[in-house]
Amino acid sequence: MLLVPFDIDGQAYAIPARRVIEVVARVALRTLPGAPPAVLGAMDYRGRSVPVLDLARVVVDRPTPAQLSARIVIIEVEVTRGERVMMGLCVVGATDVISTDGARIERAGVNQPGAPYLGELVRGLASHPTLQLVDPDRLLPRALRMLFAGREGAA
Amino acid sequence: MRWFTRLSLSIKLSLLVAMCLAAFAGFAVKTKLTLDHLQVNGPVYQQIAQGKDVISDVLPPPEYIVESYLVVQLLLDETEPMKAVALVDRLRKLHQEYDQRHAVWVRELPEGELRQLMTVESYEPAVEFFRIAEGELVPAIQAGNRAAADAVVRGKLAPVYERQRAAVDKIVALATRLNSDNEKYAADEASSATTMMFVFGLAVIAIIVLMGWLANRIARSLTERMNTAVTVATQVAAGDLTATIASQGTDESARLLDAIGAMTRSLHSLVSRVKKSSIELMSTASELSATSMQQETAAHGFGASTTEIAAAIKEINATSQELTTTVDSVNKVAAGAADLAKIGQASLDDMDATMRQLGKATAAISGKLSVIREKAADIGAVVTTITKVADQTNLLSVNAAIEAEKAGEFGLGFLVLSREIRRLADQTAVATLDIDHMVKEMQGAVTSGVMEMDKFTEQVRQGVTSVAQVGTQLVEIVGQVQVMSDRFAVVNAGVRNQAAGARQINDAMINLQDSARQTSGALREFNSASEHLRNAVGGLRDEISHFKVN
Repeated sequence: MLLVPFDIDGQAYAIPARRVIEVVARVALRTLPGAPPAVLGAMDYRGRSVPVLDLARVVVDRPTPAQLSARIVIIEVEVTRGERVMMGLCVVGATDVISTDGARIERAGVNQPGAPYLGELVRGLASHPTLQLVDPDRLLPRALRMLFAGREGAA
Repeated sequence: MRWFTRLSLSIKLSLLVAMCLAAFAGFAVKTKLTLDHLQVNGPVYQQIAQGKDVISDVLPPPEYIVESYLVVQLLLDETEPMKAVALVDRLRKLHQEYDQRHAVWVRELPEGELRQLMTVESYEPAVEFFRIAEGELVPAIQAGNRAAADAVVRGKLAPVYERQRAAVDKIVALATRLNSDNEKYAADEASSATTMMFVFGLAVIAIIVLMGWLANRIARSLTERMNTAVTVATQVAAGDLTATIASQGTDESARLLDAIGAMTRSLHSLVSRVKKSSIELMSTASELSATSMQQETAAHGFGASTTEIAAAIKEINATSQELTTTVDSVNKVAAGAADLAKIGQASLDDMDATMRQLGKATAAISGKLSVIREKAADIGAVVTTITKVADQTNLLSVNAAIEAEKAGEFGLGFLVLSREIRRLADQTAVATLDIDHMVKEMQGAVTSGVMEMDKFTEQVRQGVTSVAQVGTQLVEIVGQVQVMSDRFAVVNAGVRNQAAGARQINDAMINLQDSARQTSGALREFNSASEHLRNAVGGLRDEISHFKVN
């Protein structure tokens, strides 16, 4: 399995490469007035308007630092049963792809009701000793899922 | 004429008046006699009138045609033709005489009754008479017609003659009346002139008598003043200067008296002053004698003093020579200082030029550093571009890997390729990072270098300013040293002058000593001379005491 790694507050996280549509540069965003602080704005991706989420806000409630390596990872998630929407995740350190060959995939051992998106841990990689997998479908809180669903429905 | 000079002035003037009176009386008598002799109806006049009467009584009057009438009568009775021709000629000659005489009267007679009678009343019948006689009678006679001639004479000529005769009578009566009038007028004039002359003579005599009286008065006043002047002059001659003369008038003699008075007064004051002056002169002569004796003593002392002064002057001379030497040495030292200052100034000028070159060089370095900084900035821009390219490459390889993963078994090779690309991009990024770091370090170094250069340039500039100031001060020092040198020269000249002056004073002192000796001798002579003067003044005082003043 191939993973796309990134940093949040100094910790390494990763998303399975099969779930990633494309990694793009941090382009200028159109702000959405009245949106929650986790929603940075909307970007134009191949002719479609895609909302961009600040993942650091969602995970550790802190803004992503304005670094040169900041990029937007385009993914598709299920917001309601049967409805999937495209969205961007603003992260830093997404400059590589890592194969899980030779690594152990373990359960974290702790159920965290505040963070349902956290998946297994990948251990034993040369570049990253511990890599926390993130489940994109569980990443969004319910309020945001409704927000995006409504937006999608309105569209 | 000796007797005349002996007479007094009064008698002389009286004689003059008497002579005038006598001369006038003689003139008056002679004038009276001449007038009486020549007056109208006087003896001369009577003789002239008698001459005229004789002529007029003897000659037939040409203005009266009585002779012509007689010739006409004769012509009437004449029977011989030869005699008749002579009578006609006589008649023509009488006509001519009448015309000539009448022309004289017409020219000479004044306008009046007499001229009227002569030129009109008596003339017209005469002209008529001659016209008839020559025009009618003479042709009748020549024709031998005696009856016609007789008729002409009796009928025409006789009435014309009578008319002329009446006119002539009127003329005689009028001329006689006019003559008597003229005679009476001349007698009256002569009588009134005689009276006037008598009155005039009396007036002249009165004036001459008045002149005599005035001359007497003048002589008397002159004599009085002369006597006064004589008295005063006699007193002055005797040496009495106290006499005074009061002013008595403004005429010449009074002014003479005033002048004599003024002369006496000024003589009086002059003699008084001379007297006073002689007394003062006497005391002055005594003082002079005493003073000259004192001066003789002083001259001796003066000689001694000049000897002392001469010694002092010699000392001054020696001292001034030492001073000259010292000033010369000081002057040399000052000149050396001036030379050193000039050398220093030249060195400073070199230093100034060097400093300026240094300033220019630092400015050039600063410029070049600025260029380097700009180039570094350019390098930074290139590095940024490279970094961006590396980033894009990385992004591409990531996406390529993702797509390869999605492709499953078919994407494996592509995955490896994408990894290699990613690795190259990463290395590029690291290299650019290094370059960026190096460029930044270089920029910092250049900036600090520029700052250091700026600081150095400023220091060089201050150095140049300081050098310029030091140069100015050196110029001032040189100028002051030169001024000092000039002053030293002045002092030197002054000291030399002083030395020369001291020598001159020394010579003068020696001369002065000789002069003092001579003065001493001269003073002795002066003393004896003043003694003589005193004696002379005593004689003058004795002479002056003869004059009597108040």
